This record gives sequence, C-alpha cells and structure tokens, in this order.
Amino acid sequence: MRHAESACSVLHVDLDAFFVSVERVLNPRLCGRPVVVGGAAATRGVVAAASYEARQYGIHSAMPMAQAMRLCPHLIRVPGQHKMYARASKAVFDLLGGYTPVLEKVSVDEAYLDLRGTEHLFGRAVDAAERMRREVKERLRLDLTVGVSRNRLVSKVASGFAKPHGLFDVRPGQEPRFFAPLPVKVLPGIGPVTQKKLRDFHIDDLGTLATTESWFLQEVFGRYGPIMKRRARGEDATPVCPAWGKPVRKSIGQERTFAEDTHDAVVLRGRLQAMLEETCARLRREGWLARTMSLKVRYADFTTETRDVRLPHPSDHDLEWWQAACALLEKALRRRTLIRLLGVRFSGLQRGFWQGGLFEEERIAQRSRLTVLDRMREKYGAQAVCAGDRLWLYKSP
Amino acid sequence: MLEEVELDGQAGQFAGGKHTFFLALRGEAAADDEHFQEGDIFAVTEGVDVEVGDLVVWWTGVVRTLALARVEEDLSFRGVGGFPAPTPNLSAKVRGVVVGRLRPLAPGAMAES
Repeated sequence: MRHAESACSVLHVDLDAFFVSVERVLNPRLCGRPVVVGGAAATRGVVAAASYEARQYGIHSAMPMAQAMRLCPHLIRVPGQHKMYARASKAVFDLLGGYTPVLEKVSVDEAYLDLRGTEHLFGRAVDAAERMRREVKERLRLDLTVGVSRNRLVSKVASGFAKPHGLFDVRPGQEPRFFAPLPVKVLPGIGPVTQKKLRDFHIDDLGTLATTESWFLQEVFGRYGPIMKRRARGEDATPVCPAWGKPVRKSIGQERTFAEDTHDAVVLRGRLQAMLEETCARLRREGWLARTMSLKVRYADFTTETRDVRLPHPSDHDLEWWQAACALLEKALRRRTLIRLLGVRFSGLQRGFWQGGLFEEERIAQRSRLTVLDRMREKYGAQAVCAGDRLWLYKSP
Repeated sequence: MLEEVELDGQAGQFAGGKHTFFLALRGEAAADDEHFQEGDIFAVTEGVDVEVGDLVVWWTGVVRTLALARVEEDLSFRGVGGFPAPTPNLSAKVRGVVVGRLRPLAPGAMAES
C-alpha cells in the first residue's frame, strides 16, 4: 500500500537544553562549556538543566549539585532566571503558533502541533518543521528538535531520536518498523517497574512487545497490557489538544430533591424544564456545547436510574434538548414509584458557541429570543421570565 | 552517494547495531517528490519484508555502493533522489527499508550553537 505523505502532520517540538540555551543567549561566553542551571551545592541544590557538554560527564537533571561538581570540577553553575525562561518560552510558542492554532504546550520547552490543513500555506509538515527550526534559531537563537509523524506518540519518540537539534521524520506506515528495534524504555509510560516486569518475560524491545499475545499482556499488566502492545506498534489516536480546546470540565448539571416524593407528571415536567433552562443558560454563559444529556431519577425506595440521550450535534439550547428530556422522563414515570430526586447533567462538553446555518431562519430567530431571555434573567434573576405552565414553581408557599 | 555513519546522539544509543543502521546522503540529491537534501541521514531497518510504497536501500552490484529506490505497485523499483533504478538484468538485493530520516541542523547554524 502506498502511504500518503500528507498524513504526516503531527510534530513534537522540544527546545534543546532549554534553560542552558537561554543562559547562553544572555551570556555567549557560556557557549561550548559545561554549564548547569540549578541551586548551589552548599544549599543542597540540584541540577535543573545541563548542557550537552556537561552531560558528557554523566551529569543530568535532578542530580545533586555537589555530585555534579565532583564529576566535573570546572563545571559552570548559573542560578537560573525562571521569569526569563518563561518569556523565552512564550516567544517560541508565539512564533510556532503562527503555523497552526492546534498547538498543545506540554511544558515550558515542549509542545505538540497538528499541521493538518496548513499544507497550502507551509507545504509538507516536514518542510514547515524545517522552517520553524530555522526561524527559532535565527530570531531567538534557540535550538529546536522536531519529530514528525502521523501521531503524537511516534513524533515524541522521533524527537528523542533527533536530539540534539535535529529533525527526524518517520515515514508514514513505517511506525512499527521504526519502533521494533527500540528498547521498551523509550515508550512514554513504561517506567522502571514495568520495564523490569517486561524484562522478566524477555521482552526487551518494542518489536517483541508488539508481537506478544494480547491475552498474555492482559494477564500480566491488566487493562494496560493490550494498550501497551498497540503503542509498541506506534499506534496512538490521541489528538493534539490546544489549551482552548481542552475541556476543564467533564460535565455540568444540577439535581433537586423534592420536598415530598411525587409522581405528578406536571410537577416533574415543570421541574425538568426549569433545570434544563438553568443548566443550558450556564452552558451558554461558560461557552460550552454538550453532546450528551443524562437524566437522573431517584425513587422513593432509593433506587437510582440514569438514562442518557445524545443529540446529532452538540448543543447548549434547552429547546433542542427538551423533547429528548421529556422522552427520558416518560420512561422513568413508567415505574409507577414516587420520585424523590430529579437531576440533569450535560457531558461530552466541547468549547464552542452555537452557529446558525444559512437557511435556518427559525432557529436563528429562536436563538435571538434566547439571547434576550438570558440577558433578562441575568439582570433580574432566573424567575424573571419563565414558561407559563411552571409559574407555580416560583410561587411562595 | 550513501555512506554508512554512526550517530552519537540518542538515535545511535537506541538503534545503532541492532537491525537499524544509518546512511548519510553525500552530494546533491536530484529534485523530486522525495525532497532529499545533502546531509540527510536515513534510518534503515534490515531483515524486514518489503512492501509496496516502501523506500528501500539496495546493493547496486558495485562494491560498497548502495542506492535508494521506491517500491512500485508492480513491485518494481523506481530510482529516487537521482539514484538509478536497477537494470532488468540485475537482480536488486535489498539491504533494508528506510523507516525515517534525520535532518541535522544546517552546518552553519550548528557552528553558532
């Protein structure tokens, strides 16, 4: 099968020896010498970052400074200026953000970028990566190592392969072959304990791991076993998730316990409508669209049932959820047991705002009314405007 | 021309001598779909089955001379990057499949860092 080159669009970028590189930009006399950033040995400081020259002496980050000094007596230590590193990091990622909005920063010196859809602007991902490296070097005098492939996992391993200051692109379709000879420790998520366990079974490289029977891995490592096997073949479907696309919430909802258990459909529908209105208003206020709604019902005998419904498109509009919510309530009422609690919860949240189609005049008009109602409720309270059939909900006893 | 090289970075540490070896492209590459550049280093895996679409390294029949080719739908070899394709009377012996390409930073830029 011929593999599409265009499918290679995920980049893992890593700033080489970042803290040291920034120090060298500020003080070029540090170039070419063994340098570490970290706390003083006298105050039990540790190495936060080491230059490649220092690493040749066996010095690495998190090593006690006293030990590093013993390994390399002429080691240069600089205390570190974290505000400066943060500024440099921002400058780099602002520059990279000019290539794609789908940039997921994972640390001060590391990020994933998805370049899908940018081919017309920057050409192939590998060419764009080359240009990024050049630009970062010329404008900020920092070295960028880049891994390019079809997914995050392979790009991450590829950038490790390219260090220092290289670019490694894994040809599409060659992921299992690229991984096969590598030691299991290069796979993110395989720590010393898992490594030891794998070694006990003579699984030393990813090729062996990828061809080990799933049932066996499941037996030894549980649920993670088969996942590990897929990853050993270079398979990873995790999307690059920029900060603006990351749900900080998993769900939004509310529930109410009735003062008295009830089976009155009018009361229950009224309460459901109120909860839907309030929760959807919250979705709109916070800029979320929901894909799934769950209705929670607790009966008088304390048994609890939860039913889910999904809309074909994510929505924050209570009227769009209303029919589906009523259908769920009807099912709950079939049990002929008094209801003690009713709850509504929206999940499958994604960032976004409702956008009307060109020919959806009615929906657009409905949306305008909703916006006005939201403003009125914000100003005068949730009870200021409500459907006539549930006015009683807000009446004082 | 392809020249076998040893890498001292992490790539060498991980893969050197274990079914993967590295070939550096010396001399200017012909402009084609492959976009090779002088200095590109190919990571090549040996002992694997060749599939359609693979980029392979094959012995040209001349001592210590390797070439790059793309495997076509009919399993014939198409020369890429300026390398010739095998002639009909020469049976191409595959040395390995290119799994990735390392492009070090341009020498000028390296000197600055």
